[in-house]
Amino acid sequence: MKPRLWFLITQLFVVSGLFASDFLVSTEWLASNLNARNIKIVEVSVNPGVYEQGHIPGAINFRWHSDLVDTVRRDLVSREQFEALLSRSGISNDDTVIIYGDTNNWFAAWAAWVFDIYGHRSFKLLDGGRNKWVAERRPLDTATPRFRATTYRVSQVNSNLRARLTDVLAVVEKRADAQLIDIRSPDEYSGKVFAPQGVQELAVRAGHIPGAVNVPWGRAVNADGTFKSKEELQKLYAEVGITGNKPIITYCRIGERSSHTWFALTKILGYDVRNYDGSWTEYGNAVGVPINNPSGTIWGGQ
Amino acid sequence: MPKVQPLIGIVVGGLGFLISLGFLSSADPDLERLGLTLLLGLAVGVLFQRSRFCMFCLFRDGFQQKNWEPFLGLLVCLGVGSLGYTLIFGAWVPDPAYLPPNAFVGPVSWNLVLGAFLFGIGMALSGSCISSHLYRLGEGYVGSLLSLAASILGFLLGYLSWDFWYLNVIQEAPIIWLPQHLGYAGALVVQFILLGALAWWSYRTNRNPLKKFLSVSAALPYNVKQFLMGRWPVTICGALLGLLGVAFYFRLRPLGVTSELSRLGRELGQGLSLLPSRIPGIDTMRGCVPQDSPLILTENATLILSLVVGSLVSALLSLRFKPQMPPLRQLPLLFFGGILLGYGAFISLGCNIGNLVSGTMALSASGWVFGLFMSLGIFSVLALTRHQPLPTGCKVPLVSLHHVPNLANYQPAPPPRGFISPWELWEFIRKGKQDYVLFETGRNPDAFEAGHIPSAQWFDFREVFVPTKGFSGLYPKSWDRLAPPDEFRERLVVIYDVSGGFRAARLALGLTMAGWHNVRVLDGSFQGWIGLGFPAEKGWNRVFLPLAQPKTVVTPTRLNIVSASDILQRTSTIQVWDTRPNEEYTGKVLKSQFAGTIPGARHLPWTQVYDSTRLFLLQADAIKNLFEELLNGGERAREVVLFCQTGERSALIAWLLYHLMHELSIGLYDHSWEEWGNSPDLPRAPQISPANR
Repeated sequence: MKPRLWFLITQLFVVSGLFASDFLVSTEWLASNLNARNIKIVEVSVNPGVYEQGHIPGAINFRWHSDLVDTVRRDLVSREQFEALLSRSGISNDDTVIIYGDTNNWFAAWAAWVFDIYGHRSFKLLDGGRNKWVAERRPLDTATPRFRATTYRVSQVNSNLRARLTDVLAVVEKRADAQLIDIRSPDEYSGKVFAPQGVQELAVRAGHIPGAVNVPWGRAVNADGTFKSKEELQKLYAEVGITGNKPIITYCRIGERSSHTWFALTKILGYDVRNYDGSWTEYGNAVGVPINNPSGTIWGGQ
Repeated sequence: MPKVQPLIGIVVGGLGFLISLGFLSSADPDLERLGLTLLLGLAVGVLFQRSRFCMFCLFRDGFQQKNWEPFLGLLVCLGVGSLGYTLIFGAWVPDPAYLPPNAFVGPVSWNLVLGAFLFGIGMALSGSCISSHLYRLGEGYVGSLLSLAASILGFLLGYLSWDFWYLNVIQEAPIIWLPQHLGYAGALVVQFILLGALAWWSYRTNRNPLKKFLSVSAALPYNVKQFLMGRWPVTICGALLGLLGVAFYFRLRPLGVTSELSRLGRELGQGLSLLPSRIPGIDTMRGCVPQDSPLILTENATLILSLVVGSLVSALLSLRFKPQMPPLRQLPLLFFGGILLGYGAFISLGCNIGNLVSGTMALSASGWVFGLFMSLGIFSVLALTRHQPLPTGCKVPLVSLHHVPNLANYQPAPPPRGFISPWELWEFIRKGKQDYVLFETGRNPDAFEAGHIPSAQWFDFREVFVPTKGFSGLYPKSWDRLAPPDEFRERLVVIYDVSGGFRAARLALGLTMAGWHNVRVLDGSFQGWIGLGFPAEKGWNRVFLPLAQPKTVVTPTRLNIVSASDILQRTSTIQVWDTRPNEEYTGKVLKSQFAGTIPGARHLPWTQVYDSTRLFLLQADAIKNLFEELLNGGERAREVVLFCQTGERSALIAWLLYHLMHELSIGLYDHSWEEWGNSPDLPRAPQISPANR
């Protein structure tokens, strides 16, 4: 009974916070709730060593490229592996998980999407992520905490949060009704470049999925990396005709930045959104699918 | 001119310090990292310069001169570093099934073997590894610029052969991180068994027996000037460098100095269209792999720059900054060696700092493999050039501090007993096997550091003959600190000074009275040595006397230290010799209050035992004749008491008497004319003019 009671109290406390969404917490809130019971903090950063050289005290490290994916198939971590990961990390089904990461929470949002797919009851993103916490000069810890292992059980899998190539093709070929949002940079969208600066291209075609609108992910955040207000976001997406009256599919290059937009649209605006994690590295490489490349760039094998 | 050096040093060092503090207080995390890099890099530069942590030099000193003490410094550095790294690993990666982030744990295969071997050859040819070239640049050695530029070419060559190495070797090479196989405790145990075995072995093979019991007692510099000017003990600096290495890993990246050079090599290749814009495989590698940076200077460029500046500041503060050009004939060595440094560092994915220091600290097998083959590379060059003039290294040409007399083709007489000829000494040094101890003594450690006989240790004259009020230095009251342990009693000890030979002779007398049986003085002194063209080397290497060495001291009965009252009481049995030069003997040059001499004293100017070079001794028979001449006339004395102004110059004559005139006892009046000539109560004889003698 007692843990349950604590859980309810924590929930009340969380809900009473004045946030843009029930799925966001501020750095300030987290700083004063570091030792709260039933709260687990998870860092999901892209750059190796970032977590180790200093993380939010008490945070556990999830390596997105080995812990949260199937390393053999191109797929998400399996249900059994997810259960094992959370069990050995000491996370129980009743815990509220606060997720944050570097590079403006890209992979943290992606992890939140995985948590949502596996039906975790309570998870939240740290608004502004690691960058904001560091910029505010809040304390960091370098020791890796270890928690008593739990027995975590996934009770339902929300596959409807994920779009597959066939789902996207159905939209392109007008067999299904949905709106596509390409959240990459305008140059990637227009086909001027194959990949962002400093990143090797992973697709042999440039451009975007026919019918997709371009809203770069960065337009959804303020200067300090926090999400814009609900009203601002509503306005931003309404400008390109996305009002939530139709199902939405988000995509980017490998599915991580699009998770960020997926989070804004579902968890802040409450729209019906699927994330297409195959993204351009799957679609742009798929044989026999139509693309739209306004720039007309041709891949030369170099 | 040298006086402004410390001033410039303070200004440059202070500026660097302030800039790093400014960056450190910045809210921009990138700038903050840059500030920390700058601060720690300055510290590394200072430590490198002050301890002369030149990895080539420490291997060379070991291989060639059996002096492994600098090598011990490296072992200490690795030991401290691996403890620190393991502490961090325990916090960061509790389960060693994961590899530690960013640590210098590299693949082990032929690329590492060949790269380390070539890097070792490059070190021996160009005289330094890359990091030491950086600190020597800070000291003003222009030749390092050539080697560093050549190493960028070496990196470019590395990029051109990258596909071959990556596809055939590196891609499949195993990464061996000891904790993954042995756990943290097991890995540390193995690490310390290896380090301990190396330390034990280098201790055992260390040629210098005296240091075995002398250096342990006081490894700390013994006065402020020594601290500011002298070389810092390499073992203590090794420990500090180990801590800095840990700090780098904890807050920044593992210490390594080649990433920026590698980036320049890549940019050069791409500028010349020799390299494609993308090189498969390289972006997944750590180590020499270039970093991109949003700032003007990459983190690694900042580190390199701060290392050079740190060394410059340290060199300026200790008056060691001297712009120097390498001799023309060394340019090909510097260039070719530099290329090998770059190429070797590239294919083994790191230089000796990255691979050997940071890698071994991180408990990676790659560090050990790199160290093994790098030392093989150094050794093979040293073995091949055994009889050649050695490559540069710390052996930069002697600075103008030393006068080099022209003695080409000069043939001095064979030296008397108690002395050793330069040729004989060179045989000992060259073979490097015989047990001998070589000391330079005198009052000027700067001259020693500017140039000394290879393998010599600095033995500060004033530490034995301590200057006191009114006296320039007297024999010590007790021989405890100088007495040899029994097993070293018969060890050959060779002593020399810069010129004159009398300070060496006085120390030789001291050690003989302390119980050493086989002490010899170098004929010709250091000036004769370099005048004949024998090699010299630069650097700092000093003897530390133990505080006390409780031993039974067996002093030869023929040597006695006598006082003024002894002389006055025993006038009938002794003969007094005044060894001062003519102008002091005649009072033309007055160094004490009164002119004159001790009544009854006979005059033998100390320089008379030298030949026309005033460096080498006359033949033994000629010297003996001089002595006989002086002894004859009247009843033959059983004891000769010697004096001069301070007791130093007379020591040369005493040392000769001790070895040539076996029936005589020798009295050393070490207070000499400093006492007698300043005491109104003691009787004085008017000097006998040299013409009447």
